[in-house]
Amino acid sequence: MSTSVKMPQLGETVIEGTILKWLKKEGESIDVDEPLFEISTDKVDTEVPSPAGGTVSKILVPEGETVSVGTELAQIDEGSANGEARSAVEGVAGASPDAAAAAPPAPASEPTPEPQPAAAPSVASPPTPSNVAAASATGASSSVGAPSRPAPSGGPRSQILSPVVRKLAEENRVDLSQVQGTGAGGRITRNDVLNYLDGGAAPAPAPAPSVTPLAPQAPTQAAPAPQIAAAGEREEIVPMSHIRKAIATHMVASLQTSARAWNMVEVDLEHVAKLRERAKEPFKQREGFNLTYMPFVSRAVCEALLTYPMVNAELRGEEIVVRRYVNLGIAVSIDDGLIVPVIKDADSMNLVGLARAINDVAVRARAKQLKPDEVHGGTFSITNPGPFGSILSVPIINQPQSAILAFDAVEKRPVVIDDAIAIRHRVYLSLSWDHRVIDGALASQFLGRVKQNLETWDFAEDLGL
Amino acid sequence: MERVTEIRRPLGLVPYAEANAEMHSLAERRAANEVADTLTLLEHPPVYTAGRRTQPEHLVWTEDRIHAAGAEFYDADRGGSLTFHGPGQLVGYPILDLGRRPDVTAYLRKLEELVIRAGADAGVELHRSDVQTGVWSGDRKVCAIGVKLMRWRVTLHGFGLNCDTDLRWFDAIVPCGLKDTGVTTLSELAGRRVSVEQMRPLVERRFEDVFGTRLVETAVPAA
Repeated sequence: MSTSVKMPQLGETVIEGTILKWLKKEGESIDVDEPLFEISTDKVDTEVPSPAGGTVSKILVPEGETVSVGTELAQIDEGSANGEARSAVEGVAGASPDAAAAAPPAPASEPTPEPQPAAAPSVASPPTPSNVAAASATGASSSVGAPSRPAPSGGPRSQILSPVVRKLAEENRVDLSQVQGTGAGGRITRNDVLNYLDGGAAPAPAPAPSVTPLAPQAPTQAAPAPQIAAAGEREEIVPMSHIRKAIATHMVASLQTSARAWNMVEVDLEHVAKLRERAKEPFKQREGFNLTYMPFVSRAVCEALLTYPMVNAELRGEEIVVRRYVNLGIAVSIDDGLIVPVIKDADSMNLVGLARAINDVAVRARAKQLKPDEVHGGTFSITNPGPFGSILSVPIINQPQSAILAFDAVEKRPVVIDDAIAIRHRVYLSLSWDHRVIDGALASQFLGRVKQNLETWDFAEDLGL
Repeated sequence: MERVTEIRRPLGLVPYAEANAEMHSLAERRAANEVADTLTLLEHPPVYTAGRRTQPEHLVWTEDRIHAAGAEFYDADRGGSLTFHGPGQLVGYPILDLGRRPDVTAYLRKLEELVIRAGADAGVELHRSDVQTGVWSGDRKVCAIGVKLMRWRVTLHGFGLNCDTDLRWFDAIVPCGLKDTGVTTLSELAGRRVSVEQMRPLVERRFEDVFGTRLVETAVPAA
């Protein structure tokens, strides 16, 4: 798989940049977040980290050239990081004999077999047609380590293997090409390997447990068996609405699926409150709606999610999908329940952009005008019971996300600052998180980051003040 | 968790090579979270530094003549073109972790903002230019800015604010590659001597304001 590297937007007002220097050459390997090139814009030179790990397969824009934001600059071939056992496993698992044989001997692979520590025992034990072909083509004992080796073509069968599966296969010298994958997209799971080792063929596909309970047709476990209760005196029977049932199912499923834990921090919003006070009137005149605290919190949260992407992750079977983008779910209370519209790519928006997006989805949610795809694909959610007076909440995670933040009421509270008692705008921010993916230290760091952002960022520029 | 920044005030004139090495080491350690954010405020002995976009014709004197005048010449891995540092100029090197993928121009605007506010504190009205980074009075530049962002998050280099710099040093170069504009000092603008020592506390206080931080003598990195 190859990732395209584009000229990033280094600042809101930046529309172009000059490539000062490539820090990697074509064919060199790179880790994710390792600096790949330097851009010059106005008076800033910026080292830009690579969005992916793998091999720099193509550099499309030479040094010294000025290009606009979004221009494709390079391509990174993932999954061909040199000398890693991973390549070997993928090669064996995925490559058809033809593809492997057709792969040209990579220039980097010397006839003398270099000891490649991570390449281990070429992983697969019995020589299968595919790895024999690859080995003979390179003339070396190991078929890995060639940086320019094309990614093996593997048909629909996914070549992405979790570290657990890789390790298990290595330890037991399993030829993964013989294992039937039953995971998402034909992916090989840990159970598949274990079953293979037990001598069994592929077991009946077992769907990932975290997905199924959310099926809307599942009976609402929250509701008792549908006995038609007769209304007693001063009672009324109200049938569950469709949305009520959906919420019930979804919430119970979340508690049954996730290992929920909870943390809270208290945040000083004095600066934000003052700024909001100052910006309120002009903002309302300009934008036509009120400036709430939500966009401030959302902005702070998005940055923290990029800093601690595990909080922005999803557990899928035995693998964790870690995102470097934020699709932010905003819980909106509506007449007969609650809905969580999603703001796509919220991490790319500034304060005003977020304010508009939040207002937009809230208004349309209440008017029941959301499109179906606007309530899917969230990576993290925020709920805001503050306007109703709540000061502390313990929300349920919106599965399959891994955490949810509750932003409660902002209140003036007495606090001790430098041994004096002061009156400050304060708020409790709490996080419910899934202990299957996140640990307490991470949850606390994430909350600490949100707190730090809210307490120290200068939002004035975003508001044009 | 209050954000703090360690303030470093090395004494005397600090050779550029020394300050540059220290700055890079601080930035590496900042990126590894071994140290907190730092702000170093200092003065250099006379030195010309060339940013990565320097064009040869912006150097008016020869390097020999520069050396003969008692100044040094260095290439610098920062944005911008040629500039001069020397006695009478307050140089600030903030080594800050701006977080993942910060807005780099917003950072430049903040540096300008703190200098504008510190200038106002000293009774000198300064402003930005619509087209050029830096802090100006009319079409004359009083503070040059050039920055590098390591890994798109940790800042290097910074600003040089002319307090009572001997402006004849600028005859050697076309500062920042700008032909039609001049250079000035706070002293010239105020009509009285404004020294580096007078500006230090003002710049420190405005740095705290603009970056929402507190300067402390020794800081440890936040967990």
